[in-house]
Amino acid sequence: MKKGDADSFGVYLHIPFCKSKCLYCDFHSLPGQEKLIGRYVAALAGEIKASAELVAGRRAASVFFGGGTPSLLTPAQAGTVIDALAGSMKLPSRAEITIEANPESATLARLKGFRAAGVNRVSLGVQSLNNEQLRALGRIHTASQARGAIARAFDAGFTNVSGDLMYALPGQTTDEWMDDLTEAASWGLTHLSCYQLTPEASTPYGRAVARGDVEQPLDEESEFFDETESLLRSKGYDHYEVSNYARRGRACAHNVGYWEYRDYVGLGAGAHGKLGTRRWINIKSPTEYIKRARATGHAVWRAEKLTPDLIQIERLMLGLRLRRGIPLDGIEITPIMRTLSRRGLLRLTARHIRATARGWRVLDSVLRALVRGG
Amino acid sequence: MDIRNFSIIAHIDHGKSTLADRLLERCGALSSREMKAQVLDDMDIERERGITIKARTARLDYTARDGREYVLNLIDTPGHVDFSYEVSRSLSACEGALLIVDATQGIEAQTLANVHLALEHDLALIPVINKVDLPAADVEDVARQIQEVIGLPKSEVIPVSAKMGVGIDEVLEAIVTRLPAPRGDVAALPRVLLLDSWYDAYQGVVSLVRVMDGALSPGDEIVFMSTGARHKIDKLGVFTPKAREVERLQAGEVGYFTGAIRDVADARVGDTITLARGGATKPLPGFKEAKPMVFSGLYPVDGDDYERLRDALSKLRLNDSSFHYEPETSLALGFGFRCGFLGLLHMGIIRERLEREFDLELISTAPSVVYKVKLTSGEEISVDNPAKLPQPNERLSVAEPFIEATIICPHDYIGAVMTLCRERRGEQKKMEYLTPTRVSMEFYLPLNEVVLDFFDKLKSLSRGYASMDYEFYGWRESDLVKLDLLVNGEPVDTLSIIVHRDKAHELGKELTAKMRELIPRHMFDIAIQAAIGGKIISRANVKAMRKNVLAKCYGGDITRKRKLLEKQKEGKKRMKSVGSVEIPQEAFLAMLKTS
Repeated sequence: MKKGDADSFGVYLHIPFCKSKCLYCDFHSLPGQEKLIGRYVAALAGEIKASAELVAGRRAASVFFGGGTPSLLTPAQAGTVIDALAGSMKLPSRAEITIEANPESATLARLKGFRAAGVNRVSLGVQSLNNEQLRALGRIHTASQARGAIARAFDAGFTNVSGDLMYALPGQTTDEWMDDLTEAASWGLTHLSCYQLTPEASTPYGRAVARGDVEQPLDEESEFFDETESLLRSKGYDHYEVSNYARRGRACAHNVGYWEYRDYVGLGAGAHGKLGTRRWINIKSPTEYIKRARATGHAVWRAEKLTPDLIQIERLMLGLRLRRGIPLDGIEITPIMRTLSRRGLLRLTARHIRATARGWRVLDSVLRALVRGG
Repeated sequence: MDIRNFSIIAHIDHGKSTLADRLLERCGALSSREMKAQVLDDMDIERERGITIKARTARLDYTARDGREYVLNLIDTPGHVDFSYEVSRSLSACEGALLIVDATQGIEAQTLANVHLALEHDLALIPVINKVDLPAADVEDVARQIQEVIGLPKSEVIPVSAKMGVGIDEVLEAIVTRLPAPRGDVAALPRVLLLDSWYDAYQGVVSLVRVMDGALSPGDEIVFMSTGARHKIDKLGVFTPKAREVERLQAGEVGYFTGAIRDVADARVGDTITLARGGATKPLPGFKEAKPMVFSGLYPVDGDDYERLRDALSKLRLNDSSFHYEPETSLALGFGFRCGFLGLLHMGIIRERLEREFDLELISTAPSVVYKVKLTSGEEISVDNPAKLPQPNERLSVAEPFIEATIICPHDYIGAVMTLCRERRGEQKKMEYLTPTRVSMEFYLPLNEVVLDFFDKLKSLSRGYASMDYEFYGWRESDLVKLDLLVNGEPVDTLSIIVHRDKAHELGKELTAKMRELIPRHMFDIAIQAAIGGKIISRANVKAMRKNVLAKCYGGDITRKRKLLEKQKEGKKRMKSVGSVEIPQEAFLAMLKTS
C-alpha cells in the first residue's frame, strides 16, 4: 500500500448464502436461503448509500466479497453492488476488488460477467486435490472441477487469481500435501492461502474431533508449515502472512488492511466493520438484515468502543501476523517484549516490531505472553 | 432421676446416625416436622460424607415398659480414625454403648477399634445388628462373628432395621435394663469432663460437658485445669437436641455451659473443669493435647485472596482447636499457610470447608508428617515441611512417626494386602482369622507411606472390602532423604518430599515423568530434574512448542480472538510461575498420584 493511502479504507461485503455448509466452516453462512439473494442485494445497495457519510472524503482501497459463497451472486447483482459503491463512495479504478468463488459455481460466463462488472481479483476455494478429502470436508466439488475453475478464471481474463488450500487434514501425510501444493504452485496463481484445518468447537467437524472420531496429524503441524513455506518460496512466492503467499506485489491489499489495522466498512448481514475506535457487527439473520437495512439504511447489531489498551492488543495480534511486522507507532515497548526479543521470538527496534521465524510459528503463545506481561 | 449415658459405636456407614434419628423420634425429642435425616450431623459436610465431625449430645425422655421414667443421654461421637482421641473422651463420659454392626458387612476394622476403645473405658456393650431388612443380610453369621471375635453372647444381639424402624423399642429397653446408671458423687467437689467445644457468634464458646462429680450452677467461677483459664458460668443447659436452659447440672448429667469465653483454645477436649476457688485438685484421667500428625501447605490460587484465607482459617480454628496453622512463604506459590491436621480426613474436611464455606480456591501441597531430627549440634528439632529438612551434614539422624494399623479383609486379599504393606515399608505384627474367611492383620507402618494414597490403594486392591484403622505407635529412625524437584535448574520448594533412600530413585523417575505430562509446552525447552542433595537422579524434558498460531485472523475474527486473549490474561492467576515456567495446579498434587 502506498503512503498516500494512509487514510484509505477497505469495504467488506458479506454474502451469507451457500448451497451447502462445509463441515468445518464456522463462518456466517446459511444454505437454502438463496431465494433471498435478490432482495438482499437491494438492501445491500441501500446500506452502501447510507454508509457513505461514515467515510466521506476518504478513498476505498479495496473491496472484498466474502461469504458464504459470493459467487452465488449473478454478475448483474455483483455489478449492482459495485455500482452502488462507486456511486456513493470514492472508488478509484485501481482499487482491488476481490470475489471469493467456489469451483462448482465458477462457470466461464459467470467469471467473465464478474470481470465485466468490475471485479479484478478472484479467490477460489480449492481446499484439496484429493476427492476423498473433499467429500470428508463436506465440499460439493471435485478436484478436477477446481482445476477447471482456475483455468476458467484465467480464460475469463483475470490476471490476479488466488487459491485457498488446507493442510493437516485427517489422515493426510506431509508427502500427500506436498503433492497437492506442488501442483497448485504450477497453475500460475498470483496468490495462495494455505490454512491448517482448524477444528472449531461449533462445527460438525470440531465435534467429531472432540469426540475422538477423527484425528488430525497435529504432531506434524510444524512440518506441514515449514515444508509449505520452503516449497512455495522456491516457486517464487513470498510468505507475507502466517497463512498467505503472494507473487511480488500481489499480496491481498484488502486483508493486509486488516493486519495493518486500517479501517474497514462491513456491509451485509453479520458483517464486521471498524472505523477509528468503533467496531461493530451487523444483524446476522438475512431476513432481519433486509428489513432493517431497507427501513433505515443500517443494520448494526452490536458495537463497541475500543480503548487504547484494546487497540494496542489488537494491533499486535494482527500486525505480528505479517512477516514484516508493523511500525510501533505509539505501541509501548514493555519488559516482556524485551524478554521475548532476548529469547529470539521477537525482533524489536526503536520503531518497529516483528516476530522472528521461530516466534511467528508460536505467535499465539507470544501474544499470550504479551497480554499477560509474562 | 434415672440416667443412662450411652454412645453409639460403629464402622462408617453401618447406620449409626440413622439409628440415632430413630431413637430421637421414638422418644419424641423432635416433632416429625423437625425430623430431617441425621439430625445430629448438622454440618453439610457431615451429612454428605456420612460422618460425624463434632461430638453432639441429645437428652431423651423415655418411659420404660415398667413405667419408670429415664433420662437417656445419647453422646454422638466423631466417627473416624482421625478423631480417635475425641472418641475416647466421649466414651469416657458414658457407662455403655450400642455397638452397631451392619448385617450385610459384618465386623470391620473400625468396629474392632471402637470396641477396644469402649472396653478400655469399661463400657457395657449392647450388640445391635442393623440393616436386617436388606436381602443380603446374614444376621446369623454376623451374630456369630460378634460372639467369636468380640466375645458378646449371641443371645444379647438385637436385630434392628433403623431405616424401617424395626427393633427400636428393644434397643431402648436394653439401654435402661442392661447399662449401668452413672456413678459419681453429687456431694463431691465438681469434676466435669469437657467433651467438645465450639464457637457461637452470640454466646462465645459453648462447652459440651459430662459432670462426673459434684454439680455446676450459673454464676459459678470455674477453671479449665489444663490451661488454667478461669471463667464465670453464664448459662447451663441440655440439648434435646435443641438447647434448653437448666438451673443446675449434677453428677451423671450431660449438658453445656457458656460464659463469655472467647477462645476455644481455653476449652480443650478432654480437659477437666472444676471450681476456680476450692475446687477439685486432681483432674480426671486421660487428658492429652491433640497434636497434628499431618501437615500440608495451603495457598490461595489467587494471591489476592491471602487475607481472606487468613480470616477463614482463624474462623475455622475458633471451632477446632486441634487444627493448627502458621504463615509460610514459598518461592513457587507465594504467601500461604502451613497447616497441621489430626489426619487425612481432617485435612480433607478443613480444605473442603475453606473452599465451600469461604469460597476460596486453594492449592495444597503434598501432605507431610512430622519428623524428629537430631542435629550435629546435639539439638533435636521437629520438621513438618520437607523443604526445611536440614542438610545431611547438619544432622545426625531423622526419626519418622510409625502407626499401628489394623486391616480387616476377606482372606482372598491377604497376599495383596501384605504386598502393599511391604512396599510401604510395613512390618507385620500379627494376623488372625476372625471367621474362616475373614482375617485381621496388624502392621507397623511409617505414617509417611500412608498419608499419600494408601487408603485408595487398599480399597482398590480389595475391591472395597478391606477396612483399616490405626493409632499412633511411636518414632523410629529411618534412612530418609530429601528429594527435590527442579524446573529449569530452580528448585520448587513446595514439591520437595522426604522419602526413604531405597525409594528415592524410583520416585524421582516417576515424578519427573509425571511433571513432564503436566507442564504444558512452552516457547522454550524445559528441564525437569529430581535431585538428592546436589545430585541429579533423574531428568525429563518438555520440548519447546514448535507451532502454535491461528490459521485465520481476518476482519470478522478480531473481536472473538481478542477476547480469547483477554481471557488468558485472567488465566494467569491460576498458574504458578517458577522462573518463567508456568506450572499448572495439578502438578503440585502430582506426588499424591504416583504409584
